[in-house]
Amino acid sequence: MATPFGVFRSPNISPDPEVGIGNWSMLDFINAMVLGLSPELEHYYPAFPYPHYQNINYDDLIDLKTYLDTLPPSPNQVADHELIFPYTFRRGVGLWKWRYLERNKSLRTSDPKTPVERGRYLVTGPGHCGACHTPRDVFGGEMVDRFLAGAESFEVGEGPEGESEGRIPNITPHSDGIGDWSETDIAYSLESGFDPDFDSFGGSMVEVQENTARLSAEDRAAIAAYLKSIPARRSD
Amino acid sequence: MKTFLLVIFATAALSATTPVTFAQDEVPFQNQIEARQSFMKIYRFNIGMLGAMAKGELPYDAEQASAAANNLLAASKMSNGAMWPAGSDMNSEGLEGVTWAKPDIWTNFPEVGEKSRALTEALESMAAAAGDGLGALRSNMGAVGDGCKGCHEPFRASKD
Repeated sequence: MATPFGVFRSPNISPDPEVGIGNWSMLDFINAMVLGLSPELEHYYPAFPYPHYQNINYDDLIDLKTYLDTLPPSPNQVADHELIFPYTFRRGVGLWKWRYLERNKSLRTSDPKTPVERGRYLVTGPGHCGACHTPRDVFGGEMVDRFLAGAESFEVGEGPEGESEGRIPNITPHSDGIGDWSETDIAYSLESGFDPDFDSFGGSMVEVQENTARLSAEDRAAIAAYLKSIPARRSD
Repeated sequence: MKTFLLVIFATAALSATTPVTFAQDEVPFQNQIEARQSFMKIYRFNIGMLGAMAKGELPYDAEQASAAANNLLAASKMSNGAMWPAGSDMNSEGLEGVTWAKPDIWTNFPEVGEKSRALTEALESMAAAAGDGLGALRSNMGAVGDGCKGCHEPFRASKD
């Protein structure tokens, strides 16, 4: 993924013991997901969305690791990130975490029992919707006071032109956002990929929607209920 | 100067009263871009009929469903290459905010053709099934959606 900070590459998370995470203990996995720390206790760059994954509960993290362990190991060796100075210094990420991790944690739910709170859990944790839909400041930290209010795509095309991937929509209940979508509209769009005007989703939301299509109908309804409950914010 | 001002006022008056799609009267390839965007609206209108039934917002009607599905199939078989001239992408001068078509379309024609054939195939199944009850319609919606997303995922930028 090409970003203003350089090119990030998605690492191998298959159970291959050499190039994947096959040698990781459960604790290693949880440290990575919650604290953004490698088994060698180095900081991960927040392109890995641990600011969101820290909001996933331990039971789900344990299930996730248990599932990943059942996948076939892949020998695919992924090249390193190619970042632009000064982001090449990993230790700087420590400072970044100190500034931003608590902010994202403030969005989490304490009790995901009701549909709205279950929706909050899915949106602010495993779904990590804010990673694209919340604008970021100059350091790449999400502006929680602009939570889900839409953003310039963080992804830029590779090459000298740096083609923008466009704007990521505002999904708050504002008229700039999806204020006129009903809960059924939201849930159906996550199931089918069609917005209420029956335009299909496009761009990177397609991959996301193909995953939300596999959620239970209750979970899609929970996301819809939660998105209707958050503060309406205008777009920039 | 007077004539010049008059022209400005006349233009201002015109654009204030005429509901035009574009902020300016003239953008490159306006004709082709308007045509293809209208073409997409035809799709959207007909998918909207099927979708509203699938979603439970409109009572299922076999005849209407078949008609909409057949319209979609016919549309997908229309040759519309002339609506997509080279240089009518979103990065071309004057077309920002007018079109969201990525320039990659023009460097990936074989892929575009493949996606278009996949959409036609999905619509053939839909046209055969839409009149056979709500269940049949519903079970074909996913494939039709995949047909739309086939191009919208790689080739259309986000519009917000």
